[in-house]
Amino acid sequence: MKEAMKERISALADGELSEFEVRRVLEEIENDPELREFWKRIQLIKLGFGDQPLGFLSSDISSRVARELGQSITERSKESSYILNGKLALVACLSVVLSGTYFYTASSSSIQYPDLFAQEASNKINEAINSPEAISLLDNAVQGMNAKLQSIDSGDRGQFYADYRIPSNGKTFKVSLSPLDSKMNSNRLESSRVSYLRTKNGIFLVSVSGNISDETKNQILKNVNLKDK
Amino acid sequence: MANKDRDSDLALVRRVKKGEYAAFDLLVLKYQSRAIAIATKYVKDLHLAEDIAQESFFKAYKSINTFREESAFYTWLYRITANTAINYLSSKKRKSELLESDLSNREGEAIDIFDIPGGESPEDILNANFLREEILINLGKLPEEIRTAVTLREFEGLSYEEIANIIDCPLGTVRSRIFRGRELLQETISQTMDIKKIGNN
Repeated sequence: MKEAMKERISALADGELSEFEVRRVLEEIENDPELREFWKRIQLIKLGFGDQPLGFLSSDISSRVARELGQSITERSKESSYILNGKLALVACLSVVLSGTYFYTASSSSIQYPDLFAQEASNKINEAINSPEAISLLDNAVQGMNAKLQSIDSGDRGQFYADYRIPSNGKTFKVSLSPLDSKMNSNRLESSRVSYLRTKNGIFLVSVSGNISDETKNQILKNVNLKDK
Repeated sequence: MANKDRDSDLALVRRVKKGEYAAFDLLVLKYQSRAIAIATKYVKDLHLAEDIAQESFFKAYKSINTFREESAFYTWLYRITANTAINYLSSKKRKSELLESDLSNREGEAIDIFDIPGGESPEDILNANFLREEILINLGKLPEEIRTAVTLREFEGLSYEEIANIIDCPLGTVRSRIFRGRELLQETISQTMDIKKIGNN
């Protein structure tokens, strides 16, 4: 029953429900916080597929809006409510830790200014991933594959990209790094397509994309994985 | 895809106009993060941006009957949020000017709250990158028929009917596969980002 309702919610998110069905879905969502949470997560996943900014994922003002409008909404208990938001918020916190103790110990008022925060954190992240150690480790990751480093780009979003080309077959691939706290490390190691790069400045999520085989991607990730070193 | 998104919003807007707050709540859940991001283009403080977004949703709800459905709901909400933020800044500027004229009689000096580049904080950008990476990785792991349906929907923006024609199956099957794909993506992403797991580790 609930699965069928969730399927309708999924269709509603795509604008594929009849007016009658929309009414039914709203009645159900109103009384079932799990369904409301499902809608929220679907929106997050749909946003994740697009290339628009996701905005402030860790903020939730829906209950405030409802209160101000004199409405009530059925939310899940605080413990389980907005799990994904909580998770995202946690990742956010971990990212802050990664960006360096200097900023983490700065006055709490800094947190209230995202643009200043952005600048400061980005500087720290860039310092970390542009270290010679990171480049060296990347080279180790593609060792034995006769891959040539084509370009490096660190951008201002705290990410780092290295483009490689395999001259023998012309194939190209990209290795990208995103900062991640060490606490996430063992949790994420289950994935075969993502690995980690540890530098003196922190741990980075590493992923490989491009027109190379999955085996090759996995080999690169395996080489990068320094957890046990 | 934008048209279908618009259809989805309009279906909810019409329910809001009939007095169903649950429909508006879904729109808030859908757009709140972006409304806050709009507000941060004008104000630096995240909490203030949340207040502005909250007020914007309040105004949107109160004036929903003036929304003539000629534009997308998001476009309409964007304007409301931007205007709310601008009004806030104007009010702050007036206060600031009064204060400054009292103190030093200076005129026309911009207060530092103006012209601040907006957008997400780095942690939100990282979250977004992380989320997108996870979605793409896990999309590749979905069973082929599910992956095809989700890809045609999310990347090509096709309607369920168009997808049904392409993959030659009933419309209900398309709906079911897309739902299943999203459910699987949700599950794997949630597992990856599970707080309890992290805590235990």
